[in-house]
Amino acid sequence: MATTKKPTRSRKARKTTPTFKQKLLSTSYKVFFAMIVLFGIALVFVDIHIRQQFEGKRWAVPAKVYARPLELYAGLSLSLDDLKIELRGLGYQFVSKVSQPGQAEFSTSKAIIYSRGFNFPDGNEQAQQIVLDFSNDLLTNVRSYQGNPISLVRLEPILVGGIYPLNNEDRDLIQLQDAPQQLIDALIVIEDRDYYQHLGISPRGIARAMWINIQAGSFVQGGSTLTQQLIKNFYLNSDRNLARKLMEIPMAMLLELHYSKDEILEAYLNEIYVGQEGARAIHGFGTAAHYYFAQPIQELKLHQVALLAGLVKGPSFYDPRRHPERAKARRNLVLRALNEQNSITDAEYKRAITMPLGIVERSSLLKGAYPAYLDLVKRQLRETYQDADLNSEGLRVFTSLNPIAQNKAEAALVDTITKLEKLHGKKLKQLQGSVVVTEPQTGEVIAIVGGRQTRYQGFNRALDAVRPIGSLVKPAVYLTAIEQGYTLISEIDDSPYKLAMKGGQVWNPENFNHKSNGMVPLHEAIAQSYNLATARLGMTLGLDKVISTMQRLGVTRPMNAFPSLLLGAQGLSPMEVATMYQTIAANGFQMPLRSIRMVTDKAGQELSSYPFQLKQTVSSNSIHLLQYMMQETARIGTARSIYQHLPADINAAGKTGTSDQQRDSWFAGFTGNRLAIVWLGQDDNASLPFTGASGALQAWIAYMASETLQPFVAASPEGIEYVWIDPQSGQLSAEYCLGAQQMPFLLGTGPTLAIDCVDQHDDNPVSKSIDWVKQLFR
Amino acid sequence: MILKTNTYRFVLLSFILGMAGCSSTFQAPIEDRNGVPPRVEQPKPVVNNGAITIPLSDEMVDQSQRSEQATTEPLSAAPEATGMPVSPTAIRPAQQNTAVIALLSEANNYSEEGDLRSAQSTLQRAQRIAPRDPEVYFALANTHLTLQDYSLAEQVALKGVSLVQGQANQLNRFWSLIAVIRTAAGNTNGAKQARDTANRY
Repeated sequence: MATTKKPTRSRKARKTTPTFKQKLLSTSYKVFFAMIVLFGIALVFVDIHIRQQFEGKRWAVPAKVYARPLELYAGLSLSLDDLKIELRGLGYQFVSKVSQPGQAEFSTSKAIIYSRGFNFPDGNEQAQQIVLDFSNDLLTNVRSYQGNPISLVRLEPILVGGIYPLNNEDRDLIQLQDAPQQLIDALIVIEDRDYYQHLGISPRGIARAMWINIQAGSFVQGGSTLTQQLIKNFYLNSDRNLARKLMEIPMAMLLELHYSKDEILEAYLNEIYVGQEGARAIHGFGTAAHYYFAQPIQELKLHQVALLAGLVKGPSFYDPRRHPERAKARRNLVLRALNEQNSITDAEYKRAITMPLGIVERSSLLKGAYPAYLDLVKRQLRETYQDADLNSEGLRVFTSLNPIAQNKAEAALVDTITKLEKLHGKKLKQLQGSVVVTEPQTGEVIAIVGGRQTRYQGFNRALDAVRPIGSLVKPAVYLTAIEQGYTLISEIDDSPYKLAMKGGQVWNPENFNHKSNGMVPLHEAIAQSYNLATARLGMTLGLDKVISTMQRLGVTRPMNAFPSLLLGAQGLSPMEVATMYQTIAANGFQMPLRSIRMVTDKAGQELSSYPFQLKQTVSSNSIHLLQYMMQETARIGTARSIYQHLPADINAAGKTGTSDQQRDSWFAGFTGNRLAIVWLGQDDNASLPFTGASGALQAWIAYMASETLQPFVAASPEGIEYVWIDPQSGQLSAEYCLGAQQMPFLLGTGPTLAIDCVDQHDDNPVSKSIDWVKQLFR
Repeated sequence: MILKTNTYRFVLLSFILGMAGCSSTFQAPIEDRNGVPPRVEQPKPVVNNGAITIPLSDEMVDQSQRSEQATTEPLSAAPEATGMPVSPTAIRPAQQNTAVIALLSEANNYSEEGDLRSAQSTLQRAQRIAPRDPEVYFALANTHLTLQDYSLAEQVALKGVSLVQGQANQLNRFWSLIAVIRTAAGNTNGAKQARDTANRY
């Protein structure tokens, strides 16, 4: 037993005594081995990660939102000033002689544009010189520089916004060949002179940085190569610490191992952080060129690229908008370095350092300038796309936003609000307003103003302020009447009206001037916006019928069948009102209001289209009669101030609206090529010292007066006949009779009794005032 | 054997820890899209509130939306045409813009090649330039007819009718087109009415 145990023990003992050292050794060995394996694995992992990210080139590229491209063709209503608005939005340089894309020159009736070209989903527009001749507000001739006529050409669309991911990185990808050589020279000379020689890290650079850091006693300088900077921006967070620094080195070397210098440089140009606008981080030189100079990168000059290269070191410290002196010194330092390296000549250097910084005002940048419109676009996009697709796939969204109309609508609203505040003083605490503009035939939304601070990305009143619409509801009441057999001259009762309601309450509407007008013809009741007549008429027709009419006009919001609905107690947003009036303007065809024309992927492949859709929900005949009454409203009714400012042949149609206790001032109306809804009010619902006619209508007029308008043409449908009547008696009259007025009737519904009439004389003032009606429908 | 297993465990553990460490260190500022399955076949267009969309990926449009779309009612038939002849107020046929003529011809080429999507987008471009040009609506209605979208084809043609009041030839042409559309849609009575209306001009 003992003998058998002994050797065991001795074996054990033999094993135990030397093993302590051995164990230690072996553990060290294991740890060392494990560390190598671990490091190796980590390296492999890092390598895979780097390659995946790099090769996929998966930068999160926000969706780009474009305005409509301006189509140029002979016969287009466009003034030279309008063209300038568009070209400023595109960042064109106005020069005395065009020589490269992105420039324009003007004379009194001529413009020469050197367009940049654009790759549209349906074809490429080449960069070319276009000569445009103007006559007043008309583009009369479009030709090439050589003089050949051009039937149609599109300018590139203005980029009006992006849809950013949560980290708010904005990025506009460029290719290496897009970048001016001087930008690359400047970057290399100022950030990494050994770029084309080193293997990802520059020992000299690191040594220099370490020396500086030791001297400073803290970590103040990087000495990073461009490759390391890319790694830092691309993969690592921005904390400055040694561990990060150590990780940078193998990563940079791996990157250099796999990719060419040009590939790395291109990634750098797109990745590097070069500025900050509020929450939006500006990444890459493509975005920076637009952000600082409102120009594409290809068009930048030496002094501009030198500034961009200089910014890399500290976009905030050298921010040319906040610290122009610092920025200029930095830019000149870059220029000097370029000159020392003989990248630029002495003459180029001397010229460049005398140049101003040339930074555009933030306010002139159109990207993000139209938050209210962009808000609508985003809402419509989110019906189809997920956020991740919108903010990372580089989608291109083509909208119908018309920047010229948008600028004019903003100016009209802001000017009118300012005037009203001046006029009424303290009664207005904080007047607000909103505008929606559409193209009446196509249903495209072309402008939206969400409040008086037009660039403020806050409460969007055009979409979200649901306010009582007042008399804007009346066209629905009178349309219902027409559909139930009333004619324009049917007499309705405007005497005082009381309605006993459930619970003992009494509804007691009043006219605006607190007077009643007795029996009045239908057309006068709406043109003068009589409340008593409308309330009684609406109750006779039936609330459900009026609601049904509103629904056919396009209102989808659930509505309460209260009698007060007839006078506009129902709240709607300006956008909903636009939908309703759009149906009236488009001759009874209801159509969804569209802000997006097409969505494509980043390569231009179509993903979504938003085709023209429509559905006739009101007969042409009924709509025609309503349009007539709404034109009368504009001629001689509550909106007659229109013709103090707009040409007589414009045939505008519309309706004023003032809500209960004058809390809201509305106007909704259209001409041949513009439908606009204006709302004015205060966010706290306080009463206003003005009505729809003296408030919102004035902004509407200011907008329309600034536009190039086309007359509204009310084509008489085949079921309608025009009859001369005597407006006083409503009886049949004749063209030559004094005061006779031509009015539309459904076939066979006109008056049959004729009145004896007085022959009129040509210069009778009464007859003159109604000449418009006689001339309208010939 | 034990040693080997331990080493293996250690390495594995280190690796996992390392991975965890790496994943927190290497926070790419990018959305990793590698999880998206490759597109094998052309996704089918989805219709949503009037928008025709080719989904980025199949997951993108949720199913509830799809089933809703499937039950969306077709646009209702047009209201009945008024029956009596009149001497209507004519709209002077506007002189056609050369830009629109060029676009109409381009759209026609697309249609003949069977590329109706391009034809439609070209016609919509023409519509924006000349929203009251009846020829645009005539061509647009025809593309919808070819696509067998009869209700929209009819509505677009009716829109055309509203733009050619008083022009007998044009009214005849548009009502004849409506008769063809209604016939194709199987609306025999409606087609007859449209034919009768056309014949009055």
